[in-house]
Amino acid sequence: MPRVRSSLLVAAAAVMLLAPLTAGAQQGFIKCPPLGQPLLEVPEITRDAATKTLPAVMKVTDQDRIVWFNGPNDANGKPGPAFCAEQHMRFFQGYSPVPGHENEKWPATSGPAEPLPGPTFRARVGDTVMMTFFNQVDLTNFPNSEYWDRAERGLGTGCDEVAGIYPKGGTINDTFPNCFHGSSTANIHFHGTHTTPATTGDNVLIQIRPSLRTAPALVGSNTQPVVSEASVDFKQFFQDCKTQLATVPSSWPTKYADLPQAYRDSQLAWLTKYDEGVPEPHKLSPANERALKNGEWPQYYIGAYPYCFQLPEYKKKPADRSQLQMGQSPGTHWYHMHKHGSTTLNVANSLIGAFVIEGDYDDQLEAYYKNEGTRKNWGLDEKVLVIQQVGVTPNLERGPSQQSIAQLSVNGRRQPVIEMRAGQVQLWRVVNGAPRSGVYFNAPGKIQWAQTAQDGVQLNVLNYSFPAAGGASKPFLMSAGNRVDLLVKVPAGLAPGDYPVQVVDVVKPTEITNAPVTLLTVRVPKPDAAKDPSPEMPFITADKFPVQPEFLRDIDPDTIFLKRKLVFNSTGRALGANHTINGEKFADETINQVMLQNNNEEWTLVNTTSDAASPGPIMHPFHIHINPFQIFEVFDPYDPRYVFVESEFKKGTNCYVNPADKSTWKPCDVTKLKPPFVWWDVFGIPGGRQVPADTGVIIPGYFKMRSAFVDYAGQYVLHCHILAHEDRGMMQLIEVVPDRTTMQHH
Amino acid sequence: MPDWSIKITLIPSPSTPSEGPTTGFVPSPQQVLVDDLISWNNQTNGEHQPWPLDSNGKPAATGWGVNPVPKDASSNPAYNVASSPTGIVKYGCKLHLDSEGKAIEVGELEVLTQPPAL
Repeated sequence: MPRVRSSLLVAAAAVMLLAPLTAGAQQGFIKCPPLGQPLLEVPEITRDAATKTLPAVMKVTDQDRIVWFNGPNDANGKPGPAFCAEQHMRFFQGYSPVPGHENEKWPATSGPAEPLPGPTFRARVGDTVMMTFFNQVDLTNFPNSEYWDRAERGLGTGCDEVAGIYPKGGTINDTFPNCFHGSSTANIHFHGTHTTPATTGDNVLIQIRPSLRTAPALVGSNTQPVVSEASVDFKQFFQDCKTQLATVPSSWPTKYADLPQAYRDSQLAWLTKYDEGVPEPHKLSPANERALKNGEWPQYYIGAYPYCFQLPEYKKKPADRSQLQMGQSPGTHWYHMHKHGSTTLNVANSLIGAFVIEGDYDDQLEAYYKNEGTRKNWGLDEKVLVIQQVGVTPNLERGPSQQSIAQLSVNGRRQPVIEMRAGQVQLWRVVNGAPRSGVYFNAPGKIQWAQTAQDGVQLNVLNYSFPAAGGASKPFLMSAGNRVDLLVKVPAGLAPGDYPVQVVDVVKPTEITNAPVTLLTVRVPKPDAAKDPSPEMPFITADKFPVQPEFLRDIDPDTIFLKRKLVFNSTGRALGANHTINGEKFADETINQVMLQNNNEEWTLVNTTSDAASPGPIMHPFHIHINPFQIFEVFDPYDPRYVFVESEFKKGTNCYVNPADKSTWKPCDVTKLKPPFVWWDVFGIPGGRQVPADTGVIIPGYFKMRSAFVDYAGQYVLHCHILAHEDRGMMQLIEVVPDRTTMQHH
Repeated sequence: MPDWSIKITLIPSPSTPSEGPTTGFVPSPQQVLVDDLISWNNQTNGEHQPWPLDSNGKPAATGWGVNPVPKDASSNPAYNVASSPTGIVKYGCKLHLDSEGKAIEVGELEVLTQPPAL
């Protein structure tokens, strides 16, 4: 069968599926959509192959969406039966401006719709991304807004406020900027891209405030955003950008004057309007002027922003440091809003989407499964699966009866159904876009899978394996932010029926054995020779497995320029529920780590959050932007292969960790990772363990990684991908400084 | 758990339509659960302050901690629905009272302990 690249095929279907379920309904409780509906395929915005670009128009706007909730907690603190309500939420719209791509749009609907993620972007390594981005949120529909977010205008505490509960209530005493705030300010993090973190690249330090709006024609009537396609034009800018980025690696624009004059003029006018009545320290225009005087890129924008950056293609081994050291890895990446203080709420609102960057990896997989010769009904059918955890307000802002973990869903639906034919192999690109939860995939039973990529980086063939006929597949954990590519197979002859894919919501290692829930179901229809693949599609064999590009070779330990260590820790609510790195919360105007460009480093990420006290051994998912990292050592004290009593030690079977001897708090031969090592960009740092329980010492978990800070200089962030932790301080600003200068000695 | 945005807006006067619209709360009643969050979005040209009313329609001794809401703004702080009382809870604008001290603009919350059966 032909490979499905959904957008053209599913856009029309999506329009129908998104049509209001109850025309004219207003906010309120609503009957939940039935479980077990077909998987919604998210509309795509695809590349313009002729120009090797990905042009897109994206908008953040707001509308009603159907949200599933847990019922109020019972006397034992367990959530009651699920129910649904129609809720007003911020979400992404998007479309392709490319002629011939008119069907590529995220449909705007009125009334309640299921909360699909934003459109899937599909580009190719070597492309230039050219995105016109609008923020058109109508703030007055949300709390803590006074036309603008109150916090952003210096009103109140600077934090979102709920009477008696937040930011100060009980033991919680959050302070700006490490509190929930400013939820209508927008930007995009292109998670997994290897590109510039500066100017119009993967720059999460910029803040795009909502557009000014027209005055209502009548009191109470609707207002419209002033900033729209009619008021900004980036056509020439994108053309210039494409030209300037012809060499890799390169960054452009480099100075503010590179942006169109008309845009800069209108920004100044809108910022000045915004600043009217705002206390001096919170005015945006003067802040931008200070940045410009400092030689920095302005941080604040109103209503619109152009994103333009390259997805660099690695072609050959670099001759020197001026040439590309690493390329963009082809694979499954994603994007989401990334404004400190509101990432939790925005990702929970589904301001997320998949970003598929194709390359040789895809070509080789596609070639293997091509429908040709004696093959019938072959072809690699692909499913992009964005796991969501949809919600409207973080738990800390609520009373105790409603503090529960939001339900998991996929592409806007709970427990959707994917149809697969007996003998078929599909490629599933799975994105864990949950703001909080890790998702542990139990072994699937009679269907089978084999992992081909982690976090958008294809595995080395030596790390690729697939189950034998009738054999069991490997379970795996996706922390929040992880991506996994899976080849999923329904063996020929499997009886028609439903085969649930079961997962466990996990943030602590002790939760992996909890009762699973159904994330989605594979439905196998009755055999049909006209439709079933023949012969049975196999897992791709090792000799045909996509060859890993040369730049993904293991980082040589002898090339390590610097080693550093970061310690993550959380305290329980009784102690304020504080989340820190190296004992500190995120601080404005402070750079915590500085790396020299084009050098390799080795980092140890330690987690002292343990079972000795609340909140328990949370595995903080460590994430760093721009460059993936290669994990070569993991020490998880909850791994059953570690024993803490010498008498239980069996050489070659387990490892003895002596609580009294810190030198033993590390892997042994049994648990040691072997090269080639896997690349990640999010990894849950194993939690600490108290040994003996209740009375003993705390043995921290950790992992060690190597990363190459190559190609792109600039400021960006690292943080915990449990986003409520990030918003409340578990984040650092870091900088890669250039290793080149114009200074000479004559 | 749900958040609700209630509009403070102009609505036709139910008793004397000829006198033109009056300020009211929409929707009213609004079904909410204990511990839900509520914010009020003021679409009028005046300032209003949502406040629970006593059985006489006068502002209760203790409010919800919601500050006066300027025009074109939403309320701050948001209100976390209390566990008591449940059922129909009347509220009004504390800033606009009649000569007897009763709220002129009145709205209702229907406070539930469990989601409604649909």
